[in-house]
Amino acid sequence: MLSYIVRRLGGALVVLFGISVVTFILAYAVPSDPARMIAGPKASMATVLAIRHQLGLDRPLYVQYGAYIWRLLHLNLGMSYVYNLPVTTLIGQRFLPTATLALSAWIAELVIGIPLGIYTARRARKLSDYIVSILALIGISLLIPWLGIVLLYWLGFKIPIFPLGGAGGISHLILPALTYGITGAAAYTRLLKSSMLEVLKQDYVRTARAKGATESRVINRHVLRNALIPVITYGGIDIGYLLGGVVLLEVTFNWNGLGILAYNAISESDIPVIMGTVLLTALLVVLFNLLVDIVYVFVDPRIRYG
Amino acid sequence: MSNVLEVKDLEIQFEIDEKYYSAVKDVSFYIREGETLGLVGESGCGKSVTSLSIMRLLQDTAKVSGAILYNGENLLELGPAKMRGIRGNEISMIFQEPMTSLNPVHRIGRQIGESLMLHKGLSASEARLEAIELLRKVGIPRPDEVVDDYPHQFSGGMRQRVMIAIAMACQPKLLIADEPTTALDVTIQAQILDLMRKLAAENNMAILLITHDLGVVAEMCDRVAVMYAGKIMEQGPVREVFRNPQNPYTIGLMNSIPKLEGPRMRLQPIEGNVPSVRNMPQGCRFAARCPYVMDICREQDPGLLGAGPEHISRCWLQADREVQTQ
Ligand SMILES: Nc1ncnc2c1ncn2[C@@H]1O[C@H](COP(=O)(O)OP(=O)(O)OP(=O)(O)O)[C@@H](O)[C@H]1O
Ligand code: SF4
Ligand SMILES: [Mg+2]
Repeated sequence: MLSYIVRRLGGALVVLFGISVVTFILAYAVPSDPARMIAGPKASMATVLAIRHQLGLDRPLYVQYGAYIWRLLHLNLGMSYVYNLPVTTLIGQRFLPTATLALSAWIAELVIGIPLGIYTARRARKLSDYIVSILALIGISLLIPWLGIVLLYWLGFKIPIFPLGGAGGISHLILPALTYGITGAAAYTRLLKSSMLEVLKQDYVRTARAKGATESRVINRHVLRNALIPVITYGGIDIGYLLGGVVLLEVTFNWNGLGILAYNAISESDIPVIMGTVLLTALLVVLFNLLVDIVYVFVDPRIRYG
Repeated sequence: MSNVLEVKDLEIQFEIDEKYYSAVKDVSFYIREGETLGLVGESGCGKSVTSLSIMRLLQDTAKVSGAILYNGENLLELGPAKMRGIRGNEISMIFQEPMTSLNPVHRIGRQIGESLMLHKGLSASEARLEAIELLRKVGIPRPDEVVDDYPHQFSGGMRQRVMIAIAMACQPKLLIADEPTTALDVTIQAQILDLMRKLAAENNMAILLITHDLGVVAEMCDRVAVMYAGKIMEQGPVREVFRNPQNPYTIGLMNSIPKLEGPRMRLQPIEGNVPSVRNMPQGCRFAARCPYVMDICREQDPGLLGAGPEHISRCWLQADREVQTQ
């Protein structure tokens, strides 16, 4: 197991290296000139050239890349062209708000999606299954900004229970989490339902019933754990994605997180910030993939990594 | 001796394309305490659905009628909680598929102990100790080590032993074994059958043994019921039925298996196929394949007719014999 994790981390480094190359190249494929952006439209060509030289943008690409990697190894992601602050500082400031939002949104999805998955699997092809499935379908097709604004209007403005956006205490988290939970839960519901229906057909479920187990014991002890693998896989991808910052959610709820940071960086060609956020997202995806593989071992004893 | 189980006029219907069809009809049999009844017949004749209906484990869309009396109580009228109290406690079941009948994510000991915790109120640690004892009883080496193993660490034969341990945990009065050895190697088959026989004798446990292997019936059973297309064709004590088979279907089955003793004969598989539940013939269900078929066979079911002490056969030929003996 340990050697497996070490090997996987080695693999992760290779992936991150590849991503750093790709983002670096992509960043330079962007036609706009960062030096011009920093200097402003009215600056003289001399100023622009001076800035370009100062940033090292006039050196050959591979030199720039080498320097970039060197700085990366020292956890130096460079300076933002726009904010004139270290990228690590910018990301550091935004990571905690995004992480709290991501975690609460994720929990909301699980809390809504998983019980409904179990419920619909138990009631498969009964009326209540159809009703819940239709509700889930509506949930999945709602747009985050629309649902977010509806919730803000009713539960923030008309009946002022929750704050109208912004970061703060737990009360600030409820509406964005609910918004994401409602739109995202259906994926978990469907995944768990179909997986459980598959497991319910298995011979060992018949064995459990033949022992005299109650239906809820059959579900909770025999079906659920076997049906969880695809849900764990999806859950890992989902939280990784959420931790990168969901722009729509952050914009709707005026939440100053990584999503907005990345979005602004792209529209302003703030290359160091773009590269920093992309690298962070890649790192998260790789880490959560590894975490998911480790969780598998605890769920299914047949899975062994040598 | 009293009957542990008595099945009366059992009919099982399944819904296919919004219409109900009988997969099993007019099935009646009984099993005495400690006795082994064999239920034989070709594939698809309704053996498994009959056994599942006793445990009330058919899907809820199946319609079951008639009576299934366990110690005089009709299981078909029992509430769900009472029925659960019987499953795995008074009546246990083992299945044909040892490779898939155990839950892959739970330890063997847990799975064996589960019914003890459910029915006998044992704690987890007491159940584990009892599971070790049961593993020893079913002949699994190093029981105190393997009790914490997972099913995938076991071979097919060993898994079937574990299934037997699960079934035996609460010392049931009746064991339903649905082709328990079909999926196993011949040598392992013999070991498993020996084990079942030994445990049944020790616990005075009755067995309903489902098989399509007449050799297994000869070795294990006191009485046998021969099923065809959802109906019982012949029923009687094993020696009697084997020495003196009355029903053309039984004779056909016996001719289709190799004999160990006596002159070697060519195997004669019965020609044709079991009719599907959707188009069961109106008269005798075997008529289309029977070498002795008569006109009346196609029109009317003969019903079960006496052929000797405890020996009955569903055949018009029997009617003539009955007349002759009168
Ligand atoms: N859920 C169901 N819906 C419709 N028909 C069914 C269903 N289950 C079983 N049947 C039918 O009932 C008949 C009896 O099936 P059963 O499984 O009891 O046969 P069997 O005697 O156990 O055969 P085998 O030796 O292959 O195990 C078959 O014709 C089958 O097609
Ligand atoms: S009733 Fe007729 S068709 Fe049926 S088994 Fe007897 S002889 Fe054959
Ligand atoms: Mg069967």
